[in-house]
Amino acid sequence: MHQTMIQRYENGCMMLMKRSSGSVLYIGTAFIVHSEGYLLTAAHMLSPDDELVVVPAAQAGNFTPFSMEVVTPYPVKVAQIDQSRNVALLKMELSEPIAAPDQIIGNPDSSFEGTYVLTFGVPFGHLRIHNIMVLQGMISARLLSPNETKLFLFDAVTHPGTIGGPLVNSEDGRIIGIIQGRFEPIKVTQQETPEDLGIASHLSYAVSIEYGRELAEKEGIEI
Amino acid sequence: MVYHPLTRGATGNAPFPRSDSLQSLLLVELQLTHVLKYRMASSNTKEQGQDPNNDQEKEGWLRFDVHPYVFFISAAIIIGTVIVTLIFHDQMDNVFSTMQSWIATMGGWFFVATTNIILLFVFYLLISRYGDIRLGGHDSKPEFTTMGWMAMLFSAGMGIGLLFYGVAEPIFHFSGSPLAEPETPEAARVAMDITFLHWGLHPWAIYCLVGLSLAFFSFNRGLPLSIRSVFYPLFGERIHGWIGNVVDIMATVATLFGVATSLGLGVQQVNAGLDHLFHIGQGNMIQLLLIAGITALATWSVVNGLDGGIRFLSEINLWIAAALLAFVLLLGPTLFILNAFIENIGFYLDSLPRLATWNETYDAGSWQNDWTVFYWGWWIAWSPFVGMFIARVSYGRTVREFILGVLLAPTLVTFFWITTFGNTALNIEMFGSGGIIDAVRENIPVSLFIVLEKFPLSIVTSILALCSIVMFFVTSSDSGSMVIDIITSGGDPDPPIPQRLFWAILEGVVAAVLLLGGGLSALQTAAIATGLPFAIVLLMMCLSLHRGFANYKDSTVGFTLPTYHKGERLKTVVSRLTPATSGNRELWVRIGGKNKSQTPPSNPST
Repeated sequence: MHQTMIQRYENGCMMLMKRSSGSVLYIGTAFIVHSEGYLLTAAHMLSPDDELVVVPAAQAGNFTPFSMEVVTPYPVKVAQIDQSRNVALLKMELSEPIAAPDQIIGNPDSSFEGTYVLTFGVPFGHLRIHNIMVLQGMISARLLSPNETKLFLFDAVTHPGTIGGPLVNSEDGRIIGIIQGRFEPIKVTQQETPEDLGIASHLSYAVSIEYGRELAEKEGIEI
Repeated sequence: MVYHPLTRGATGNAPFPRSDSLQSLLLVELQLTHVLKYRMASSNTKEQGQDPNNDQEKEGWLRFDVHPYVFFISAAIIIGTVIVTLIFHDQMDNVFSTMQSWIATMGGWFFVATTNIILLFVFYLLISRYGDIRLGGHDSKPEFTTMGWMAMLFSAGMGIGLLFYGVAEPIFHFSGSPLAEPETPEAARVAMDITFLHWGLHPWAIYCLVGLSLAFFSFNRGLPLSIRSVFYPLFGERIHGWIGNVVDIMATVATLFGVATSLGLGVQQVNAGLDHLFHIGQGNMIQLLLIAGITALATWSVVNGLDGGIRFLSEINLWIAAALLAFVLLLGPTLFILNAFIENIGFYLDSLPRLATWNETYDAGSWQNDWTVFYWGWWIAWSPFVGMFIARVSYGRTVREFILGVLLAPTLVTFFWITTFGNTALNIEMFGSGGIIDAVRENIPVSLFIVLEKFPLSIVTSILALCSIVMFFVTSSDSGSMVIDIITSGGDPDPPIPQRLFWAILEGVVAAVLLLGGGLSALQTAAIATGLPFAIVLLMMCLSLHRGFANYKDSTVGFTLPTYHKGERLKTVVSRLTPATSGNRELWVRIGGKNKSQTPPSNPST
């Protein structure tokens, strides 16, 4: 049903890794937003002294083996970062532009609760399982975080490796958010609770793509 | 015997497409050629079919850039036909007339089927998923504002044919057609309906198909701006071989005969008009002089480009046409015209499926051969010409915008024009002093002037109309030679001037020689005779365009990275998990104050 949409975004999701003495360590997912090699991802995973690289995930379309022993990464730099919104814009060094579909960024403000969404990412990259997995959910809520960032809560499970991936509105096939991870109510409200309330949710949350757009504007590109 | 204006021996006896004006397209031609060259150069045309002798540095004025096969074979066919027709003109007249009625009778159904298939295909593209494809790539922006672009399409809808046949055709059908009792109100309704059929959606769907194909394959695929490029999905690189040559030759020959015929017929009309006004007489000598004069003007405009005089005159000309329209609308039977405009459109749409597929099967006549089949063949022969122009002004438009613009704008303008002039003539005939039918039967070109005579200031308006026609011809000769030159130079969008002069002069010569040799009807036949095989080309074009769109759509579905060889190969290792928690991030810090928790937020960590 969503096959064309999935084909659109699969190959745009890349594994964000950092170098570490002759090998690469997986950090999270980043996704391409511009043909000159710009990617968006979640900012909290990045440290200033990391040597960042991106690696294309196992090319989808067929049954793919789940682990790559050795990879050829593309070096990448942080072009813009916004820690308060937790988004970062990365730039790859490319010799030629990427062939990208057009109009991939959608309209987050008009994506309401109940809209079906898809998440793309490499959920188990840390375990060297380098396959993109697509999950489906629904927007459960639209929140404004304490620092007034627009968030989408959705009910697809997010594994750690998916963080930084795109949240796609499956009704119009465009990206509306950058996946941030599992939504944990306790940590969010920062309560110190005497007893273990045992509340963990299966919900996940994503930051609205408009902050990614703002970073792009700062960088001088249009997405 | 009912007088059919399209049979041989009648003066000024055939319609021709109103798309032979295209002034304001010329107004931006200069800019366009530069822009087009830039775009094509930047999309790697050089590898794909530009003549290898063509370099971007144009040295001097005197240069040639010909595709050897297309140029010389087309010129040979055309000159050869002309010579043969001259030498054997009595016999050839018979040969051509037999050919024409044979083709129309045997192939009439094919023409009707083809135009309907093309119309349906264009509607399909409009609503298909290919509608979002942008001509020029997904980042391209339109060259012109929407209003400016529409205005150019409007002007493509104006033409000499409209000036004359806007009046004459409805009157002809009113006075006799197989579809209604002559000279009744029903006949009037049907007359407008038939005229709308011939000048409405079908011709513009044909031009839309060709224009869209040319635009897509040259802007999006970087192929040369020529008919052969449209067949890339079907024939691949072989379009640069003999198949492509055949296609281009057919397009060139059709276009040249179409333009030359228009020139010849139009000159007859100008002659008839001058005679009616100033009694200068009609005859071959006068018409030769007129052709020579108009061709001279056209060559002058080719040489001088579009600055100064010609550009100014072109703009003025459109205003003259608009003024004539307003004049007749306001001083004529305004209420009748406005009522008719709405009713004609409704009637047209309502009877479209029936009328468009009517083949005169059960009526056993040959009326349709003389009108509908003729028109279809002629529009098909003209389609490379019009298609090339509308392609060039439509950079940056999506397929959907293009189809809507090309189908709706010129058609509506045409309908309004025909309604204004045709219904005025009908009004005079049905409710007024009459006399138009007789005038039209005697001499078509005069019909416009007869109608204008019923209005005040008739001398002024008639002279304006004549000037308008002459200007339309000059510009269409200029643009015709441009298009032919583009095709025969293998797709060079800025063809060298000496070559253009060759074609402009050849057009005039062909028209003149055939006028002298009495073979104008032979030209008409040649245009329809090239229309039939070109109809096959158009059907294949539908297939090819669809395939081209599908490939394009699929290839831009996802991201494709360029290969990257420079990187070193590194091993992947299992790494520590990023906490999937949400608590450690600034998102959860209230602005301007500490949060409730006693512990400050910890540093982001991996």
